[in-house]
Amino acid sequence: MSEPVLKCHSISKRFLVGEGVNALKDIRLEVEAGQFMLIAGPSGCGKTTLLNILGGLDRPTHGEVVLNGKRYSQLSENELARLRRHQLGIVFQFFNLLPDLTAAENVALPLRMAGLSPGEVNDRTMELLWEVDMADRATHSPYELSGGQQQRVAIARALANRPAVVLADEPTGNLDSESKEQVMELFSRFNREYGQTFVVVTHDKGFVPYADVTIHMLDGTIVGAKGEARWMQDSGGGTAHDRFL
Amino acid sequence: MIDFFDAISAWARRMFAMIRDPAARERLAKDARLVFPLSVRQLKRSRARSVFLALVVCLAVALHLVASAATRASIESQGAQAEKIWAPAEIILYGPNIIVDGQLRSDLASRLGMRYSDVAVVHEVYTSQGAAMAIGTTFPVPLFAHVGLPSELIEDVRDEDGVGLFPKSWGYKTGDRVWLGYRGDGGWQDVWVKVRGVYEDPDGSFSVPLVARTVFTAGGVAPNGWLGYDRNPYLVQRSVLGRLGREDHLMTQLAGETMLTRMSSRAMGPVRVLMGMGALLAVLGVFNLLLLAFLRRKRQLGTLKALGMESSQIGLLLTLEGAILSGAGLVTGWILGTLAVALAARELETTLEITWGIYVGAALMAALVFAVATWMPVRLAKLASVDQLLHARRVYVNPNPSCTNCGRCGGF
Repeated sequence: MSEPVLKCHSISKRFLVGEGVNALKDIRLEVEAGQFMLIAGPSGCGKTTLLNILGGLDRPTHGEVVLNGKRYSQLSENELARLRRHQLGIVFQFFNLLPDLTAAENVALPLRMAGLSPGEVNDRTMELLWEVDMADRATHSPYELSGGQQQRVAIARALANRPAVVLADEPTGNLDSESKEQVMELFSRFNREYGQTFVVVTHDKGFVPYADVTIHMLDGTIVGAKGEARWMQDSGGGTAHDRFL
Repeated sequence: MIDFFDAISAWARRMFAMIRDPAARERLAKDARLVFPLSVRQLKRSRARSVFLALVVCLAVALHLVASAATRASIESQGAQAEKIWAPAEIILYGPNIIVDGQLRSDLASRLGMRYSDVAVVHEVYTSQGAAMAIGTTFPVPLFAHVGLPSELIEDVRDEDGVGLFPKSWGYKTGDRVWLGYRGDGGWQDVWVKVRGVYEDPDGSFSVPLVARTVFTAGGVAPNGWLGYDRNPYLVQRSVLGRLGREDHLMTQLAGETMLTRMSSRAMGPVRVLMGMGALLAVLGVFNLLLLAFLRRKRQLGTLKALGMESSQIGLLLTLEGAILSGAGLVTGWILGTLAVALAARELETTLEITWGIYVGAALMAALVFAVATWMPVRLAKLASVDQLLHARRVYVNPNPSCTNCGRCGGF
């Protein structure tokens, strides 16, 4: 088993709404390099909150996240931003493409942020758009693209800087069945061919066959896993294999 | 408000540090290259809003130019028509912050047995401490009558060029020094004048010192030791000059012109209020629209942060948008204002001129509009977390870590 690229140590998250809501309770999780991890569970179980914390988009109330040896709690907001820029790719349910930019410019943005030369940016952008079969729509604005096409551009954008981990939040939640299939295939292909690590939050059972590991969450805790997952709950823990789903 | 000034001060410090640090300059240039296309695209996309914002600034700038040019022309026109009045006077100097009109003027008139309108401000003296007003009698006859000068001598006295009368200085001899007291910031101060002659009453009942009739005339730097330099210089003790300020800073200025400037400025008050209102409306308009734009773009800004854009780069993005709009508004306002002034000058057949100072003033006003209007959206965008932006949650100008997510205490 390879070294974990992403680790969660006893993550808890409490939202101060009303009397307070414990969205996550003592989550411990490890994601290995090249792994395709699925996080499943009913609405409100804390999947997206966990993904936001893994992506450094939100801070946990307690616990620690470590990505390639970097502890999030020791990083400032700007350092976290740089970490996201270079080591994380994020795919959103609603694509979140920048409406003012074309498909190519959306893909190029993280590359420009990373300080690549214009030539390198152009080459890498076109390479990615070819990979997601969107090269012929490079100059189209997001409004001119279907949901599935927008999501493919968003995936290309997430992969732009060859991140250590791609985090995807319900990437097929807003797509028709054909587009869903395309997106799933894309994730699978990048995982198989390039060893890209994915952590995908989804309701969609269609993803299960592609995943190495499926974590199931309920009420802010991990209640089971399928595959070679290293997860721990409360004082228990260890490796679970085919315990769930 | 304190936050605003703190932010401005912190910004100024950062700018100063950056100017001195080549690495920081390079970083800023790199960030600007990254966000500038995004700013331009955003402005193009929200074309109607952008044009409206630039128009608001443009109108405020044009109004500033027109009103300033009109004020300047009015002052110059009245100054050109002014006549220099030479008046014998009991000169009383008043320091800064002394109200000349009103009670003091009334008291002097009453003391001299004159009408209020007979007592007027005739001079203004500038020292390094500020302006000092001099008031005296406009008409000499009541003054002379007051001190009991025989009427047949009045003409003689008036005809003696450069000779006036100080009724309260009984018993002085030629060459004596007579003080003129004035109340400045540091309390009462004395200005000494030299007695050039003594008037002896034919009956021997009284004598009065005769001093220079007109105290201060056309402006300029006073020679060392002298206050006023035209025909009738007053000798002022060096120690007194020392208290007034550096000798070479002691100046006199033509009273009439100064008065006219003040009167014109007062008359142009409503125009200045209009200019202020224009600037205020520009600030409010730009502020509201930029804040609204921020609220509508939370998700977009959140996406940029999620992709790895730093808070300072987000701040620069919004700052550039504000700067582009303000800059466009300023340039078009300059053009519009200049054309309007030229048109008005032609139609009214008068001389209206926009000086460089007026252009610079308009630029400063546009910079103020830009700074005030962009401060809040920039601060909110920089402070907001990715989660707050992506999920359109409230963002607080002064975030309280214990309640940022409760949403009960305002925020944007």
